[in-house]
Amino acid sequence: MRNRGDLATGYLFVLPVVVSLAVFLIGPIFYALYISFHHFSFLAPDHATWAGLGNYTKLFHDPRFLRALGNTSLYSLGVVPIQIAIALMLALIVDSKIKGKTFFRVVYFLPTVTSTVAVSVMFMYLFKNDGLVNLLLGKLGIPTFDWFNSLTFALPSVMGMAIWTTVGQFMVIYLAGLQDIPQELYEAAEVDGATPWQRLRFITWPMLKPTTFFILIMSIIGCFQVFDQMYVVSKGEGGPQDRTLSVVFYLYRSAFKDFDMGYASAMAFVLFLIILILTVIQRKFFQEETH
Amino acid sequence: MKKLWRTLFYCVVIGYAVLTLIPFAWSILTSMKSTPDMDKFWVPLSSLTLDNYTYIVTKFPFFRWLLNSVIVAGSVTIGNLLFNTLAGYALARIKFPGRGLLFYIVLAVMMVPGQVVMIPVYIMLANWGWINTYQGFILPFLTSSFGIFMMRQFFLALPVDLEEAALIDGLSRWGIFFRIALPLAKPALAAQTIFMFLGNWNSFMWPSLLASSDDMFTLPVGLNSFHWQYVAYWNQDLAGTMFMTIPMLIVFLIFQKWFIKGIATSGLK
Amino acid sequence: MKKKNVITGILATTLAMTALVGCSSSSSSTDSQGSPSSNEKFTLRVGGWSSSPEEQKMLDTQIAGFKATHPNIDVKFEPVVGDYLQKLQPMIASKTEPDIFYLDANVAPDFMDKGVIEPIDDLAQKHNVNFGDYEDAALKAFQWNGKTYGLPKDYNTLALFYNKEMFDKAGITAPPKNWDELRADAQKLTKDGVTGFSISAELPRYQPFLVQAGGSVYADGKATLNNPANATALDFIYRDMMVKDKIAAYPKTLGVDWSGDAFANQKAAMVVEGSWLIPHMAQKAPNVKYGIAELPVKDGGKPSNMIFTVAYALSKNSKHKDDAMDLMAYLTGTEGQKVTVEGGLALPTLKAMGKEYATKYPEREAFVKGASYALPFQYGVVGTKLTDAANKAAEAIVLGAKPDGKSALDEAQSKL
Repeated sequence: MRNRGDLATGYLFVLPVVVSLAVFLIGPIFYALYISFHHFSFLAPDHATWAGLGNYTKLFHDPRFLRALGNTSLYSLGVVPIQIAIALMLALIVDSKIKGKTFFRVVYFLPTVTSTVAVSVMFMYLFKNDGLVNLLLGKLGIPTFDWFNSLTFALPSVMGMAIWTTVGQFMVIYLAGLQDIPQELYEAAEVDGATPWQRLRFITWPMLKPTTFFILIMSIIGCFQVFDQMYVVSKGEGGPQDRTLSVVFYLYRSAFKDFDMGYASAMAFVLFLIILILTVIQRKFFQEETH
Repeated sequence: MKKLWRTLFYCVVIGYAVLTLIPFAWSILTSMKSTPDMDKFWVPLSSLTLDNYTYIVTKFPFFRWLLNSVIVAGSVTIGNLLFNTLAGYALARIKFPGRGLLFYIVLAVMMVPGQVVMIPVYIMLANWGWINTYQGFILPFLTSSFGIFMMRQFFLALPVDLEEAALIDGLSRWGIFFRIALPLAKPALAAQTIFMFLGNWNSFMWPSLLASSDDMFTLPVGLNSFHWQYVAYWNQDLAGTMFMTIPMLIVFLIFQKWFIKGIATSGLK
Repeated sequence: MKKKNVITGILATTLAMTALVGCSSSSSSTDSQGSPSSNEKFTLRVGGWSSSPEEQKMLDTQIAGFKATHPNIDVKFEPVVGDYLQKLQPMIASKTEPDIFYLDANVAPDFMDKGVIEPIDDLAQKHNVNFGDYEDAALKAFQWNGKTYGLPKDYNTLALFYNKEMFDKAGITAPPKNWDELRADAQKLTKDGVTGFSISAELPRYQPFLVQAGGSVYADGKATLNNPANATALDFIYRDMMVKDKIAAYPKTLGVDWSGDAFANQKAAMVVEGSWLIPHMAQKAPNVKYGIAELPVKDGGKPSNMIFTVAYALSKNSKHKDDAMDLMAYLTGTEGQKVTVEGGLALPTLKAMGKEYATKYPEREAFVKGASYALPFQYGVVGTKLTDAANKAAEAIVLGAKPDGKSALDEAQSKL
């Protein structure tokens, strides 16, 4: 399609986006790169001194960063698969012929529209030492814990909370994927006498691959950027004993508590690199699988 | 056998629904208990009260926080709807030098986590004196590469015939955009509205970095500071939490069809 | 309420634990090029964290007093709600910070070392401020490389708060004087859901005990957490009393955020806190009868305490440095500190006023005495990291991640 004045219109259409990307994204990315190679304190930006790769190499000798990285990886390893499994299960449920389908769909989706801060407060109340969860566990004779203050359970508790919050969103995406699967495939399978399990294994799951890929990427990116829940639950400390300190959380603390923005920027780029690598690996993996 | 499966199936369905609802139900219940009753498991229905809600909204600027949240999330959503759609449309339909480059840039920056630019943008805003201001909350977020990408894909999938006919009829590009393309883009616009609004309504890290006086807090920031202060009184704490949660739940229940459709749209392609 | 200042230092992040009082107006006119002699009206901005209504009232009174004698100056307090340090930084970086602002001793070295606040030696002399009038330990916290960077507005020290009723019931006649008595008393007091002793797992609570045992955490510009004498105190409090005997608990175990709340809720019979607990008790638990005693001292050890202090610092970018100095001198001078004494939330930093405080509140003499042998809560530019590591060391023992003080402190030291 061509039109006189299209050129001008085209540029006009993209102008706001170009300005905004340049000012708030591209420029800052380069500035962040610059900062990450300096000893840069926000309080005295004029005294920034060249650090070379210092900030980057320091990261891998910093036990707190390694702990934060470990926590974040553990968190992702736990949250991503469980989240996807539950989301798929729920999607299959609300896609099947059950009564009150809409009701359940709405209920499962509720946590997604609730702010992480609000969810964190609610869960802290439920899981506190003398909270409802421990009360019920106690009645059932199961040992109870001070979940969010326990070395063993603080991180898993945050993980559970994250799963609870985000499952609804992925369920809906799966639901859309499910509705795109041609009905004929199932009909043909039925004629061939396939069991429900076989239908799931050989039709639904392969047909959902692109959806799963999308969800997997979203989920991993989200997990590696976890911050809000941990911040609220540990009151900005990452405790107990750094058990709820994520990479972004540590980055935040380094920049805005320890006045060390160069170090924090280096952390941000390492995080970027990790996410990039994970995405590339997944893409490769999924492409090979589908071929 | 089949019956057993069915029962099991419904157990899971209802079980997970209960698991989802209990935190809300228990929080709402506690938020209506008076302070002496706070730690009791059972309280008579008649002793439930809305006092905690009146207390928090009179003692703390919860309505101001609500207003701030509406202003910020609203402006960001409107900006994104307008700018992302314009750009998405141009990238899909209008040929201009640099279009390919721009598209690749949009794709590339989608990969960059927000935390990378958080520090430089913060420094920049500080230098402009935009800390603790609405423009600081809003302007950096008026466009989103994800939104641009989504809109481009949407317009690419749209048949082009209608627009070509209009072009031949002598309609200008603006006319085509506003009269033909935009009405057709309703589902994608709905999806964007929901994404942007939800994302900004719940956004925590950036506003908590930027807001320093409580009259500039958004609801999540206000709730967090309120929670740190009042953790000993869970009933009031949860009243604040519910104050923030219930409006969104109501909005969701009214527009639930759109919400679910909208989120689903994002997963396509 | 000084509790906040302390917590800033202690937890480095917890400044958001503030009362949501008051609103700030961020834009006040400081454009006029007023000199001290000018009669033109202008505004001085004062920055600080938002605080309890009681403390706000005190500050309002002080400011009103200043305005009465300086009719051409308007003074505006701009409280930061939330994380003070994090909010102060961008203001300084963008040169929009208030003319004078609160600065906690624990973080002051960072600011002084980077030279982002104005040295006040010359101005102070010009305005007849005599540094010798201030409590030495408090003032010293704001001196760096031979220059002075702030006037301390008030301070606090630690003491042992004990529940009198519980003491009577357990047949204890006097508060514990030494570690053995502390342990024996805590043993007697621990019953019926009450824990004998509660103390946070934090350096600014346990440091006095550590110093009593001959230890130190910071010397000659370096962290000395692994000083062999340090482990004794941690072993005694956190390993023996908390983990082994279960006659002491840290606040989180008792379901509260700080031991002051455990004391107010009568879940703990003795706690180590500063005078900020007094208004808290008046508000939350007015019926609880309690006493305040000096900290128990290790047998054969020297008494020790900590001093927590906050100063007014002067902005480098202030357009009215002379008048700002005037305001600082007034707020921390005799007139201003009279209000501090009246308010009774913290101790005055002027030596002369300290005596008035001691006569006005005889039951609080433990705090005044404590000041005489207190060390400032300040560890140079490594302050936040050192505090953080030391807090974690104590917490590690309580949570069972480390078996004793030595291993916990060795690890903490290795992190620095």
